[in-house]
Amino acid sequence: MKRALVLFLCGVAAAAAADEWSLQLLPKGFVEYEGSGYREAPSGWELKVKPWNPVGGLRWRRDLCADWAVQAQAWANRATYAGEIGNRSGIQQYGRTSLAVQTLWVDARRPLRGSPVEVVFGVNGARQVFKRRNIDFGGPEPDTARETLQSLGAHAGFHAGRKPAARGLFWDGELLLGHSFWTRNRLRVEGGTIDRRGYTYHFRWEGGYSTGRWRLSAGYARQLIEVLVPGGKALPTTGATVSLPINKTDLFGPFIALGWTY
Amino acid sequence: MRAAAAVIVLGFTAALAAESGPTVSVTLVPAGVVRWRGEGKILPQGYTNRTEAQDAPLYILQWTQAPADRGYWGLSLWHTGVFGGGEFARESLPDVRSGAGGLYQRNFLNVGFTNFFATRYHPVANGPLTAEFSVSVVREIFKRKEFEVLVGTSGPLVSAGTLDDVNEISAEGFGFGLSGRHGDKIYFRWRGAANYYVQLFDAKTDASAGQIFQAEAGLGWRPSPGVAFEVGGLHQWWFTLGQGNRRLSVPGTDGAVITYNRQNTVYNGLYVRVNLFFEARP
Repeated sequence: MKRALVLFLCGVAAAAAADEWSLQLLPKGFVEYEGSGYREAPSGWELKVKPWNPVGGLRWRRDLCADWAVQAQAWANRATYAGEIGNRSGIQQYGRTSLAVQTLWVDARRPLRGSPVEVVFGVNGARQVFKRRNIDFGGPEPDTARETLQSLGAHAGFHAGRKPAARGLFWDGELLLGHSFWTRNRLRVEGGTIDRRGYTYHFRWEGGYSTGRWRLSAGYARQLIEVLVPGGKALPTTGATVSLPINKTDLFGPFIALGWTY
Repeated sequence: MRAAAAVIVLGFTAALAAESGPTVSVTLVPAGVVRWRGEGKILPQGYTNRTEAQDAPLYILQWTQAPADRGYWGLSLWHTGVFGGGEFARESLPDVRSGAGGLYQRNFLNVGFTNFFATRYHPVANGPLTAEFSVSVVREIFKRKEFEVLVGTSGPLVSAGTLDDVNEISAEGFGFGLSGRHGDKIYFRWRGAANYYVQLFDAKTDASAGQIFQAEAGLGWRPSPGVAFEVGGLHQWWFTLGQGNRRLSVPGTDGAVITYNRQNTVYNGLYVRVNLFFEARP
């Protein structure tokens, strides 16, 4: 299913009228999650899982006219189970957690007056799926848990780069800051005091060689997704925490990229 | 006292304006409201507080250079708090120990902030939009008084007498924004900005120290080249981290909670603004 979706997206990107597309691969992307907060669990405080996963990004850009361009980029990791550790009332919580992260950024770009730098403004969304199993909290927990976090927001930022007309070195980079107006999670509890909002940022910088049509580059990407939701759910048998209200995920690492310009 | 301070500030800004030929604007949100929420890791108990909304007039003083295609600078100072007429509101902490119920603590709280932004404005090509890049230093101030804290595990709440407390969280960051002004004599202005923060001088707090999101929109009237009046609405959402886990000693109790690890501050209000446009000195 996932493979079909990826192929479908690649097909759509290739078929769509584009001026530029690029495929980024982080062979060993760092995904760092830290959830914190208190709700149903008497002193539930934090859970941390930090897997190293392959991460991929697909970026599509279209110049509508001299002053307007649009860009869409999607990023996702290949989730694997990794050790998760947490604290609660001095008792350690252990488990195995798979964290799948997907983000989508769609925006418009306009150059600043008298400058090659572009201002960026658009919308973004993120979806995270946590699958937890083999939980131990003062004893083995028989249940598993599946938590999802979703967020939608807007962002602004700047984009700059150097594009040679023919063969030569190029670089391209952008920094976007976003605010999430809508968030949602699956394992919700009543009460709590933190707003249901969030924030995010995206940074990408790459440099490499362009043949005019093809581009090969290396770079660094980093995304932060902070999601505030009414989490804090505890499992009934052991009381292990399986969702938290304040959720921060960092996704970052060096990447290699292959691009095509029309 | 407040009138004197206002006169000094206006005099200072007028002088500043005359030196550099820019725009000075003074914004007042007379009936603004702060809604603050905190969440804390106070082992062995975690706490979430409940705080009533606080009346909090907000003052914004802003200076900008004359607009230029190559970009221009602006400085702004935002302040709300007791000094500016902000009110205290009731804060209460539920007793979260299993089966306990009731309150652990109650007191009065005022949440204020003093935030400084240095912003580089740059017009966007062919249109009324302006892009913003800013660096900022922000400080949130918490004033508490009239504490009552649970004695032992079952009560009652005991008064801490004249005990009070002031503590602060500061952060440093940068932000991006976009604004637009449409019209001339009668105009519509809007602005949105997101600022990301770290805490350079606080090694114990998470390096990712939150966000301030600001949105404002208003209608303006510029009856003469030298002045414009504007009314509109303003919203600010602020999520910030702190070390938390601090209590004041109250004999016979586990102490009065005064700091939290995560805080969420939402500010809303209708504003009036006066813009003064100055001629550049030859």
